[in-house]
Amino acid sequence: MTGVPAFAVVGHPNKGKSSIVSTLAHDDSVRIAPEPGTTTECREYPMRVDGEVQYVLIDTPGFQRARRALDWMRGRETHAGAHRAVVEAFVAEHRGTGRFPDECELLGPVLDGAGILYVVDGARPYGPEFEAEMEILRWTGQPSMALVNPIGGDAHVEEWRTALQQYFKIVRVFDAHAASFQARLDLLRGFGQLVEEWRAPLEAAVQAIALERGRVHARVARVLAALLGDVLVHTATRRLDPDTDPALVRESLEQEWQDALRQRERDARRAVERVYRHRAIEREERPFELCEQDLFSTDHWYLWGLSRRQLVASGAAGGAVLGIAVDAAAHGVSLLMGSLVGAAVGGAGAWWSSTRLAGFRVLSLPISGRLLRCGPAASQNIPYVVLGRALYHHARVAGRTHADRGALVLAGDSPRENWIERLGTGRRKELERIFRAIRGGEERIAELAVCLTPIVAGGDAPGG
Amino acid sequence: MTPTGSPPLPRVDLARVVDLTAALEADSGVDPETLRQRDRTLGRALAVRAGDATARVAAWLDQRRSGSGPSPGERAVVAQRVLRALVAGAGVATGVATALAVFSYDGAHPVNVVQVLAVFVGLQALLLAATAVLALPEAWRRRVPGLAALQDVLRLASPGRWQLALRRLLRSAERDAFDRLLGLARRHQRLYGDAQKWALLVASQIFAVAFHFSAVAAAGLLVTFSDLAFGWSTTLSIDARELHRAAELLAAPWSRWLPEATPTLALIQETQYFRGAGGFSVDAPRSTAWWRFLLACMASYGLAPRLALLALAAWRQRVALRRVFAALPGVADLRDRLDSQWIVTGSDGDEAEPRAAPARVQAQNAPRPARVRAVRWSGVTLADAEIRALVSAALGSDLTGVIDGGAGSSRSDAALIAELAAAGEAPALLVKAWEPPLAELLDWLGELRLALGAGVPILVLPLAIGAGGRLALAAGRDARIWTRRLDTAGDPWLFAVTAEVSA
Repeated sequence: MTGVPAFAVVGHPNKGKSSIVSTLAHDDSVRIAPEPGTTTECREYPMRVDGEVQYVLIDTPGFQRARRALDWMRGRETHAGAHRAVVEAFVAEHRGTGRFPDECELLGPVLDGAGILYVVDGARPYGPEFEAEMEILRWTGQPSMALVNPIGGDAHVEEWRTALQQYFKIVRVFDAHAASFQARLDLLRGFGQLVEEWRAPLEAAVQAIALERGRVHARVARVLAALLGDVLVHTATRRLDPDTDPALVRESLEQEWQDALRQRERDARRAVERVYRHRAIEREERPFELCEQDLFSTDHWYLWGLSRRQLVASGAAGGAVLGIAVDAAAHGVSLLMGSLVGAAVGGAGAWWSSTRLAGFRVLSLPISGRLLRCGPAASQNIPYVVLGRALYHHARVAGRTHADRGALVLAGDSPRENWIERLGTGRRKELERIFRAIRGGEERIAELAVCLTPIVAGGDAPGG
Repeated sequence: MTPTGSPPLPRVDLARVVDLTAALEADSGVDPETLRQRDRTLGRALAVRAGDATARVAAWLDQRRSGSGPSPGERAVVAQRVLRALVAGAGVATGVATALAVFSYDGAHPVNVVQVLAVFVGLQALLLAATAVLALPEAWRRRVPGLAALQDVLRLASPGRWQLALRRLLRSAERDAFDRLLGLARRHQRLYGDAQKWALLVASQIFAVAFHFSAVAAAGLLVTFSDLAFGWSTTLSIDARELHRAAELLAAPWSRWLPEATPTLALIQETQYFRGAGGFSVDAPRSTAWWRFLLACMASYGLAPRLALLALAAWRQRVALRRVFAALPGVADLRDRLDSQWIVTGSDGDEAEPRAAPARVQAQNAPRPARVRAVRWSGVTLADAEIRALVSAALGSDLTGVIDGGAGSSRSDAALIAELAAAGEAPALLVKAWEPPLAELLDWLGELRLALGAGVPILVLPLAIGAGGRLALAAGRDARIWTRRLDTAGDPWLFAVTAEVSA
């Protein structure tokens, strides 16, 4: 057996074939529906590393007329050695006739050399109607493995195992909806057991996927670092006319500030989901509420947009220059008192005049006014609250398979203490130092991302 | 780049920073998988540059830049050059005007050396101090009280700021590019802060260099092409010896190799003058010895420091731009895409649509025939007595017999049809509701209909596993799937009997 390993996922309709493909291919575009016959054509899911195909998964339609197909084959059976030829003759005779479209479609890749992954539902009882399918697959002579997919429970797994072992050398249980990352890798490795030549490429593929997972953690950490960076410094400001009472706009400004942060968090959530290649997750969660006390500050703005602080500084600088001239004239006898007094007088003058600029208008435009600022959040807890929520969301997304199409329910906030305690003192101090620097206006997002990467990876570990 | 030898480090200029920002912003709306594929392909082609992240990103950018017309970054650089040229022009004009004013000589009063030194040395020292304050590191703004406000004020007064007003003189394409640059700096203030500061200082130093160069040149021209007389006069109580000491101090850098550019005590004593009684009486040709000293002072304390500051600011700007280039939002992701294996596990194309279902017949309530013959389809495990009770409860019908079917060969299926047709009673198929209705069953039902003829009801009873493992009429999702599937058979006498219908 040569070439790229290929695996046809076959079985009865509605037994989770597409779910298994969706989970292993990390592809949520695979159609999964309760109606039987959703998959009508084979669809290939090649696993590529830098464009080079390592293996191919093939989703197939389910058997629809297995007993009649087997009857046809048995009618032409001569001896066991000719079984494969009979199956080939069956496909050749019926392809395109419309009599056995599903059987012809699903047997095509198997006859082309694909390994067989026969899927059954471990939650439903075994029945004799499956035997015709398994017999046809056995006639193809291809390497095969049976997968018991406990879609709605594992009540009949053992019953199935017993039955399947009569037809397949390898029988594994794999829950496509809840499989951890490690379980997915283990199954891929298991595919390598079917044919000796497939072992090495499958192992290489597994290694590449595992390495990619590490890079995914770093990507998520960058998303979270950018989110935290924005949360730590975000402000909403509004210029107030001299006559406007700040109390009247505080509520709407705080709403604006909160809405912007919530939107930022939603954007980050979507970005994390995209990193894990989930393109259509619906989320159910409570938006976070920031119950901050000292959110508001009022500043004055003046002509040219100068703040009061800047106005005073410029007054002081001007006074100091004049004072230096006086010092120079006094040949230094004044012991720089001129510049000191000049700076003090200039600064005080600027401060005094600033309070009187409020009423002035130039060309009907006010030359000064007040600026009401909401944020940034001063509480030391805020970044931890946001990070805790983000890590909780990440853990749920990382542990979610692509076959899971239900809404992602995020039940409340993740308790802060649980994950913070796991951080360790060193990491906590490092986070605190970076948060402080970002609050101070420093550009530390890249450093924060590096710090967050192992924390993100730790969140992915338990569920895979 | 040649395969042999290491490539030169790419120059990270403003154009590259602007273009990289634009490219990354354009990519933000592109599907991540598409980006990974594109960038990994480019990254592998750039493999020889591995090891220098900035070089790889720069090379990636060069690949992305379209060849047609100047890029936004190149336009921004053109805009910046034009603005800096305008600032330099303003410096030249100011320098010439200042030199003409300070070196003005009408024959009545000499050029006052004290004035020249005050303007071109004293004032410059103050302005240099202001520049030094502006150049202080960003971290100091948070540590030194009042420094941030002072820097902000000095920034407002810097000639570099004139670029904002002068941008109106640019052509629209360049002005748009410059405005985009300003918008970029505003959006990423934390990142661009340092680069912006040094860009401002570069522009300021260009003004200052132009100012001093033109002032020196204008003074030189005046000395060459007019007869200037120099003297010194001040109300301050400075005598000739003190001025001489100051002059020697100022001339220290060049006194050894240019002794004639150092005023002697005798010259200083002779060229002091007072207005009023006696007035200006210095011998003009004698006083001209000052000019070398004054030009040397202007060059050494005005022009030279500004040239040095210009070089420093330009270097620091390059360093800051390189830092910005490496830290722009999205660059880390880009490097990841360039350097990491591109792994794809999904399908190449879209999934085929499900087959269009045949037209559904109008669902009707199942009839209640007096007698039915039951068929245990495909291994349904239900005893005759249980079937009798179930049929009676669901249909109110008497059970005339139970036959097994649907688990053997096609021949046995055909035999079953013959048996049911011969019986002439309504068949009631007991099927597993948890297994989906297959085309095989629908085929068989079609054949059965042909054998029975029109009007004989065929009842299909999907059974679900109920409490205690007992089989009972199905309800819920499985029952609905069966009902819908049988509806599509197009047989008006084919009925699904489920717990939902009979309820």
